[in-house]
Amino acid sequence: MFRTTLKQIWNQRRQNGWIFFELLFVGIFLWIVLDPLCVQIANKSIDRGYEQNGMYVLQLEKYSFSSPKYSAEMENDSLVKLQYLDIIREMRNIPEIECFAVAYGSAYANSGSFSGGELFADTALSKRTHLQFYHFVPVEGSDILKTYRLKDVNSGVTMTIAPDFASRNLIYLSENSAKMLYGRTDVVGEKCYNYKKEVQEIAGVFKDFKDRDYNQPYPTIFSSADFCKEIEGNFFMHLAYTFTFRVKDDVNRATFEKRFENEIKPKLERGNFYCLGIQRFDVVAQNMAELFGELNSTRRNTIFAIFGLMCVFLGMVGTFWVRANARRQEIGVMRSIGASKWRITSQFLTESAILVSVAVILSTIIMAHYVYTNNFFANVNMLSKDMLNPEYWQNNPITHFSVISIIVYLVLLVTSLIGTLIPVSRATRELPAEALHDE
Amino acid sequence: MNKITLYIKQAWMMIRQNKLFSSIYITGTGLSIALTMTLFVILYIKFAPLYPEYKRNYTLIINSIEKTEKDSTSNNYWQSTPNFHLVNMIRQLPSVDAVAGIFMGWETSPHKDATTEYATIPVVLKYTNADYWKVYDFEFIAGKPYSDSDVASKTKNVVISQSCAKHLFKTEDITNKIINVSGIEYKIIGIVKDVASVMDNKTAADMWAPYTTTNYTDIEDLLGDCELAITAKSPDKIEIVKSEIAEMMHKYNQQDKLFNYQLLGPDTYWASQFRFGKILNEKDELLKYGYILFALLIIPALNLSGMISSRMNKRLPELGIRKTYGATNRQLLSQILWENFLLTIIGGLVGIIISYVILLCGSNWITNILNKGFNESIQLLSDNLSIEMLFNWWVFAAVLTISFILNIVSALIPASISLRQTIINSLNPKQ
Repeated sequence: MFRTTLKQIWNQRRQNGWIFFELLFVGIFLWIVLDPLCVQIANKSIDRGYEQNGMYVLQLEKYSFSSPKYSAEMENDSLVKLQYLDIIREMRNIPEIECFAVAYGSAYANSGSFSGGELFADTALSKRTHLQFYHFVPVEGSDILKTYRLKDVNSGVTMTIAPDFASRNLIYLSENSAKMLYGRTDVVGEKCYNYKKEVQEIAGVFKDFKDRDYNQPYPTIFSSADFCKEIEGNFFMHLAYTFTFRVKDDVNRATFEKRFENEIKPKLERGNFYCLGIQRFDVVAQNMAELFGELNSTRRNTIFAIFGLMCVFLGMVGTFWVRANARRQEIGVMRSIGASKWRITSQFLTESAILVSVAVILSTIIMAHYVYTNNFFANVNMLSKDMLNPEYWQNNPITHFSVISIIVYLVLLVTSLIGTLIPVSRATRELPAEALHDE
Repeated sequence: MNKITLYIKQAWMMIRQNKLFSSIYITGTGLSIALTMTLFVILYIKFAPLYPEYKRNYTLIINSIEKTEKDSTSNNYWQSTPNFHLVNMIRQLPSVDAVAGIFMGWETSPHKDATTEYATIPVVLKYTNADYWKVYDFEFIAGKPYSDSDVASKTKNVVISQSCAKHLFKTEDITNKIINVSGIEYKIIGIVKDVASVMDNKTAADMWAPYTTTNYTDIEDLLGDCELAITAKSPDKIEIVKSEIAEMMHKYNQQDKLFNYQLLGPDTYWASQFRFGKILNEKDELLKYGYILFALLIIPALNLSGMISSRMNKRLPELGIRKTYGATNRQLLSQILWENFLLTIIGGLVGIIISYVILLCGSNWITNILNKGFNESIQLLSDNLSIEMLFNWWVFAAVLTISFILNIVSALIPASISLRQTIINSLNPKQ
């Protein structure tokens, strides 16, 4: 049957040429739009390393100079520090809140802020990695590990900040940071150094942490540097610090949010500080994805992929409908000498599958050249190639290329087979006598 | 009855006879036209003169400025938005008509609360100078804009949009009424027609007030917190304005003993849409749009060509008979193209409807869909899109042209190949 099908394809080469070129173009087009889409989905599906549900960020503002509510008297550094600490205490005492963290700057997940730096495993500064710094202020019981529910890489237990964290200048590293620096994760108690060769001791290693939902986990360090061991009062301190918190698991979020808006928010006015509200971490993540174009590229690539597939589907339906009609007599003869409906349908489906396969092989060769010149690395958020985690399929060039090529092939094949099946099965339903009547 | 009417009549009959073929053809064309039209509407919103930015063709934009130390051993470098001092300097240039300065500082975000005795609603308030009303052609429904003297005297006057007025007041006569915006009382002196939310962030707002009513800093430095939109006295003076600004900056840098200032611009309005900091690579960006357009056309064109090619085979005997009775290849080709054009036009109409559905369903994100970086959408009280964005002759003309090209590209080649057959072969294609 296969040989007959090949002959059939060759005999119909003029009509097949058009659909073949379309498949070739769509194969390339789909590769280009599905690649970033698949990488984006793969990156998003990587575990965040923390529990997003139940986390909130407090939105504090200050009355501007031109506001009648602005009070210059309230604006001295020691006074604003007291006001800010008072807001922290007010928040800490809310019964629904389980724990909280005071971050330095905008060091919280999906904030869009990135504070980067290097860390070294030796004083010769030879073993190094670039990391994202999450500086936080250990005041009034602020515990960033507990708030994010970060898990110890070895035991899987939720971590908490050591009581002597700030005084001993301890740090917590992510799994990938430890591996980059030491090649292993059992590094508690090891010493590491900043660029000034100041020593820091590792107090714990947590499972890989994703700062942004659409990114891969970047090497991360949780620390409390000298400049953020204590709260410092100044005019912009509502921007210099961020209060994030987690509500208890049994708290109904909608009820809590309503209560916060009506009862708690008005109570948080101190000096020139006032509260705008709270924002769920998932909403923060959504806003960031919108702002940084991740949702846009998902929408764009999805629309283009659907467009390409619909074109192929219509093309297949159209081409095979015309062809099945043109070969009605042939189908009639085949049916009258005992060929089953499936036997005839499968011949057309094989024709379609051969066309798709050859087109995809050619488009894959073209794409291999494209990928060779525009490497995959551009798609990820790492500073250098050696930071890529080889465990993720999208980071291995061969696996990456193979996965995307297979996806393109399967998507195109299924679409084409459905597009072929509809007109052909309709044609085979016709009685042989009717089909032969034209002959 | 002339030939074209006859062809169209015949084509209509064929559409009715081959319903599946026609519907596939129309859907395929519609799909292509829908995405092409959506692309054109996005580009139209991005670049065409639209309310209130009717002077986009001769507007220059400066959003950033760089400052470096003259001391060659220093690597210190600053980049920021310019300040109102630069606005006032450019205003003095002979070929400049007006310079709008839009405050982008701390007080511009997030939404502010506007309160009246009837309601409290979040609004977007822009702080500007008085020239803003010359650069942008706002349509005043009532009242007037604030003047240079209002700006200089820090008078708390405000202009509000029509939607904002509807949300905040129950009465229509609201000029001179007082409105409280996040604790500050402003007097309403004018009401303007709504600006669509998808417009440039320099004009998309619910309210406008003098920038001097904010905490702006008026210092003798060129770095600050405002963005500039400059209009020349006439469209042909754009290049003269650019050279005047360059000369002005050259003189300023000569006078300044410590620093060198370099403007990132002025860019023409359309080029400013492609600037990312220091990088202005409009050619690559335009090429990207070209690739997208090419893909949106070539894939359906191949699709349609394949279908026409198959159908031509079926129609060979009919063409053979017509050739026998003296019809020339040219006449037959013209007939096929006209028949096809009817299908393409129907597909075009379907495409236009689909594109409106796409545009209206995704009105809050669709205009950003081709941007690669930062996408800030401002949600105003007004609608996201305006009528002039959706219904305009430029877009319709472009869609008609695209339909025509699609028709020619997809029908010409398969039809020409089929018409090359001899009469004998055409009459008996099975041989």
